[in-house]
Amino acid sequence: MSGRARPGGGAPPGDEAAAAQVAPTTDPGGEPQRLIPAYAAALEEMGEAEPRLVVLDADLVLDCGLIPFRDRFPERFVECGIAEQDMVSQAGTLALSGLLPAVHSFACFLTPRANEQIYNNATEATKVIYTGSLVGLVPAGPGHSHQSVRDVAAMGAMPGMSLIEPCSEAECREALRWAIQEADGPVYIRLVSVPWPLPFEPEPAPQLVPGRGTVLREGPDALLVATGPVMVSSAWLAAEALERQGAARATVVALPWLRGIDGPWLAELGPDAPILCLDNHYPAGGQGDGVTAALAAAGRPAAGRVRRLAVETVLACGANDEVLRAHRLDPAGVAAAVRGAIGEPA
Amino acid sequence: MSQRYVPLAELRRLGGLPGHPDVVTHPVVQTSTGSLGMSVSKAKGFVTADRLAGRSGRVYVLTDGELQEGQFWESLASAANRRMGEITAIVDHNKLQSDTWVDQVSDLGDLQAKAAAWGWAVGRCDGHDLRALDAGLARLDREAPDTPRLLVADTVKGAGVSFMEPRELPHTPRRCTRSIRARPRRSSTRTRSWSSRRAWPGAWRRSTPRRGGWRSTEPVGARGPAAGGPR
Repeated sequence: MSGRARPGGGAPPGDEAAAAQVAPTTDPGGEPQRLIPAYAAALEEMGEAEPRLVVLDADLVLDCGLIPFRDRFPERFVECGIAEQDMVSQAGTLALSGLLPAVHSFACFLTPRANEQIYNNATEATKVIYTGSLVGLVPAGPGHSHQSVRDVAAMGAMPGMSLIEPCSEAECREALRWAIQEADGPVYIRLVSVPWPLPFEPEPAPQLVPGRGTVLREGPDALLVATGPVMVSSAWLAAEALERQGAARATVVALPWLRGIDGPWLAELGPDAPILCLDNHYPAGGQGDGVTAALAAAGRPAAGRVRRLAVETVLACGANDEVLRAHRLDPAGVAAAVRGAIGEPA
Repeated sequence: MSQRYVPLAELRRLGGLPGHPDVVTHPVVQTSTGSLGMSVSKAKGFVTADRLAGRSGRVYVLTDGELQEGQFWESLASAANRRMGEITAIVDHNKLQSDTWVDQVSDLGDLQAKAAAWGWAVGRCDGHDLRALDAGLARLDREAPDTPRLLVADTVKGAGVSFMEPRELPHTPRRCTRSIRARPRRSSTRTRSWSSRRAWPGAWRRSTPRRGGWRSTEPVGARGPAAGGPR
């Protein structure tokens, strides 16, 4: 992934009025990233290459991107109905039998309701892929029940579990490929469902390196760490606006790993700068916790410079931009937080 | 399948068997248990794997207290839908749960009718009579070979072990009392003093009467850390 700006992304050059608004609209224009269709295509592709792959679904075949796989490999597709615990336990014994089960539902149902079953599987030293979609604040219309902002905490405590949240269609495919071909234990893939435009051109063929991410833009004043298209977009647009105003130049990292983060690698990206972690999640157990723990484990003083931008209250419900603004996770909110962190007046 | 016998002294010790079956610790264990409600779900996973591999196989589930867990009931319907005649569940129907009698909390009621309503073939037998158990299983196999099958085995918890069998309790269901009274008792445990019972590993540790009051000279079930409780 490169940090190359998408034409039309960010505030128009030379537009002082727009720059004075600190950040442009949440929507930078351009084609949105559609992670679910990308996942669907990747799953079908991987199904061809990996005959052990068995897909389980809890009555969300369209929303989880499972139709192409189901139609292509009906014998390896199990419709479990609205019964997430039942689905996850079936996956456990499929894995014990030498197959590679991939379990699907909305993250808000899969990870908390079936948490004991996921843990039971995780103690059996097998490999199960859990893919939770509809993660994060948006879409915010369905309300609290469907906004998954505690799933990273729920899955992050599982022994041996790798947690990945891709921010682009290409990274989504790579996340699934890594989970199937390279992971040696269970994997949680966290997918934003709402189509979301990125203000930069994403890398067409990214390669996941465990614990590390992609530097989208560089600057010495702050280090912004984010994952998923919504938070990465907010971070990038905030940095863009701050740079245009001459207020700060920030490094922005798209870090798809929610646990197992490479602390020394990250610390080198911002040796003295404040580190701001954006979490499309409650602060407890989110990626910011993973970043802080990784820096602390590496003995880096940067651990003490981490600030958390996360969902601090019970979730707001409304239009997407309204809700991101209400939780100060929109580009303007992030830019204001960066100003606060570096001592710049708002 | 490889076999390895583990000395009883290693039970619940480092490197030995945990208190609940663990697939990593011992190869004879097929899947880790201890968390309740998962049994039929896990059986379905084994059956699906067998079918994908073109293997024939039977999966037996021994189940009891987990019937109060929601997952058990959500697991039944699709087993019938998928005609998983490979699965036989035997319910150890001992009428007790950790805290008290099952029918004082969430009575299982007509278990056969409930399982039948989920599309399972059902039977019932005396769980302490091996011939009855064998006949019950054989009849279900014969009559419903393509249907998941559930056999309710009526049992008494700790049957035949004097200090484990439940005695008359204030809320003892009549059907259970009849079963208990049909069995010989050893009076020695009934007169054991509190102090000696408390010193008995796994003996009832509660020192205050429960709601309605236990009979103070009665050890009620051999539970506690050493015995592991009913789960």
